Amino acid sequence: MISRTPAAPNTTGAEALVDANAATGTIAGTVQSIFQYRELLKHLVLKDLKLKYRGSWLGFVWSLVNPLVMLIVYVVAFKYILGVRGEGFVFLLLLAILAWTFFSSSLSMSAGGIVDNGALIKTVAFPRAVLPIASIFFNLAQYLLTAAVFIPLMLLLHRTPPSVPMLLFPVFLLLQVALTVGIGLALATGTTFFRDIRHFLEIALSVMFWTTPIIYDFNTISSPWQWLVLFSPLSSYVLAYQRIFFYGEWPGVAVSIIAVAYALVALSAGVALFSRYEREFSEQL
Amino acid sequence: MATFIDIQNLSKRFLLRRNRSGELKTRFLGLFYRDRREVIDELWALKNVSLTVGQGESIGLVGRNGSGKSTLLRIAAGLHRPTSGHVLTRRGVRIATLIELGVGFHPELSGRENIYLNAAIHGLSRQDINEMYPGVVEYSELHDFMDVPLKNYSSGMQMRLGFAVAAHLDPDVLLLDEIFAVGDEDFQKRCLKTVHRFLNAGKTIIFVSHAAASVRAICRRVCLLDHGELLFDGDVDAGLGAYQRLLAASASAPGAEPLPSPATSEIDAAAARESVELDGAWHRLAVGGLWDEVGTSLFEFLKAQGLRPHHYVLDVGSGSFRLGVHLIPYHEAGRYIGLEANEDLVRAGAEIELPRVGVNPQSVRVVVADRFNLTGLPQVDFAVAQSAFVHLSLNAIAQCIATVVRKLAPGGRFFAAYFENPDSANGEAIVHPGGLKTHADAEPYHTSFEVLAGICAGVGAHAERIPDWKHPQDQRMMMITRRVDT
Repeated sequence: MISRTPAAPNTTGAEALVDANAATGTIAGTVQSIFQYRELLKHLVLKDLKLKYRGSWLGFVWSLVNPLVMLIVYVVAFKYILGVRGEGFVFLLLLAILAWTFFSSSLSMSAGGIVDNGALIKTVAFPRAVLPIASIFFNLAQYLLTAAVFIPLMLLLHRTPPSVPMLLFPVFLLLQVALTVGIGLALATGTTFFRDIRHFLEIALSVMFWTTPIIYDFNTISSPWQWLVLFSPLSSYVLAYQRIFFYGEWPGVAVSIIAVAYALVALSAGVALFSRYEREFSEQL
Repeated sequence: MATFIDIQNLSKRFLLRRNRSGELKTRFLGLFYRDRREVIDELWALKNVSLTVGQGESIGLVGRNGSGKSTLLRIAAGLHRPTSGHVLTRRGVRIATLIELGVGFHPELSGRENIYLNAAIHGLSRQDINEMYPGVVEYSELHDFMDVPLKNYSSGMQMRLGFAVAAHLDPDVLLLDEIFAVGDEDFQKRCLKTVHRFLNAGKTIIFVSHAAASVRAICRRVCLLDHGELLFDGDVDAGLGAYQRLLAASASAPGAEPLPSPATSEIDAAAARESVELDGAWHRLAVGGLWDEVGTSLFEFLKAQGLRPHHYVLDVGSGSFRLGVHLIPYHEAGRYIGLEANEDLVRAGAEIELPRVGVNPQSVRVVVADRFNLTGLPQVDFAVAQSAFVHLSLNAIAQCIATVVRKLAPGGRFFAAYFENPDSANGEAIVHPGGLKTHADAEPYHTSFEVLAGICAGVGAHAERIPDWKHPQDQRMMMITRRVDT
């Protein structure tokens, strides 16, 4: 026989009942629920980091090898084969490559954040935004680890003294994270309904690679093209990193305005789109 | 009792797309071939369902495949959005959903890492997880495997770990899909024990299941869904009875009504196939063939005569539960009494037929005896001899009527079927429509109403013909009541 003892004091009245569906679908609801599930976010990021290096000899060193090899290839190709001259080419290239790798891998991973986790989404209720955001944070962690090695190294090699503008680095990094989260959430939503988006993303990223001042110096291109490049999604952030670290100067008004505007627009649009369609994911998978 | 979940006029429509036009190819081909065009079918998985769940309740959601019970569970869990209607939950009540064990487990992570990840997926805070962790390890009995990657676990160990995490989530409401269906007996027992502990702590459970035995073991209330509608909401025995009738109806008339999804029709077809195959089994043939038809028709007849779940009913010659499979789920527990001389038939029925309709054979009262000795049994409102008279000599029939009539409660009625011999003077065998041959002096016996009425008069009973009973094999029906002396 089952005997029952009420666990909580019985308070009756309809006002204590809330519609669970009213809270979800709003931007505030989404943001709040992600914060509630920060423990899950942490564990998902840790899982990806652990799994990436588990069983390999070099472990974390592999994260340094990838940008290093890319750096060497570009330096050989541009500086020695094509004979491109320019002050601090390697340093500028490195800052851009690190930021670009963070951006592009984050978007590729977060686009599949929902569709690749079908079983989980169909069986457990939790804020789905945690999934794409976790893959962005995983890439952010990788970025921070590599940047923490390479940027001080470059500063030493170039004998660049620390300067006040460098304090802006966390601000622009935060803005880049906001931009990436916004686009990543939008892509994760879109891919759930249209799988083509992943293929489109690949093409868009390879175009964007050339519209971002990565393997060329922004200052060496002519003025109308400068504006075009400046409005490419990641350019303002790359320029900001290059200016504060290499040139030791402030990022400039145009770059700052574009960086802030892009981050805010992308983040709010991404979160709004995601919250609007979040409840339909489980039926689409 | 505080209301925890209040489901109001909930409806859910699914759009089933065939040839999804998400692909350009489909659009292009659709221009030329009609059958390549996108087709959107509407499926109303839930229609206007209202349900209130109070604190400490244990509700079984039963229904056939495709009846909408899982959809209801998923909407209550917040996995699907209702098309219309509302799901209100009490502020601060924690709801956990267990639809599948070990979802989100990663094979490369160790047991410990998986516990932390899984608990976090269910929304536990770091402090909660740290507190529950030792309990999970102990419960799973996998102390020595916590640092081993999950890929090296056996499937049984993975299941144990999955349930161990689930058992320690400690929500106020647990939404449970049929997760016990997997796993061995030991695992199921352990699950059941945990669920009971959970209920004893005043927690609330909504449990989706096909298995009447699990529902009986866990639930105090049953909600029956069919084609998205809530057909029944009430106590367990009546609810499961209604569910069994629904199953019986769909098994005897497969395809009689449009089936909601391919998955459903496959399963129903399998059930129907199984039923047909069983028709060749000895325990069904031994009682005269047409097992399902006779049982169903007699059951419908008794209901038309006023049989209700609270009545006590005596099944004389219960055999392999041809009628029992209908009556036992229909009646309140303990109201059905079977009487049968052939122990092998009873055993075959208990092993094959009763589990098929979800009845636990242990819970059924059957007197196995070849004498009509009914001492110690309660008085009954209904007695029925579906084919006893066909297998008994007149002498035994007289003994049977005399004993049963004395067991009838005031107003009680005894229905008995028999093969009629229209001409008592004729001693030859009779071939009935349907091909069965009956005899006056050998099984299967025939007799006549006049003879039976005479016996009744001799033992203080009154006999009456029931003319409008259509038996598939041409048996006739009579009603015997205790004679009231005026």
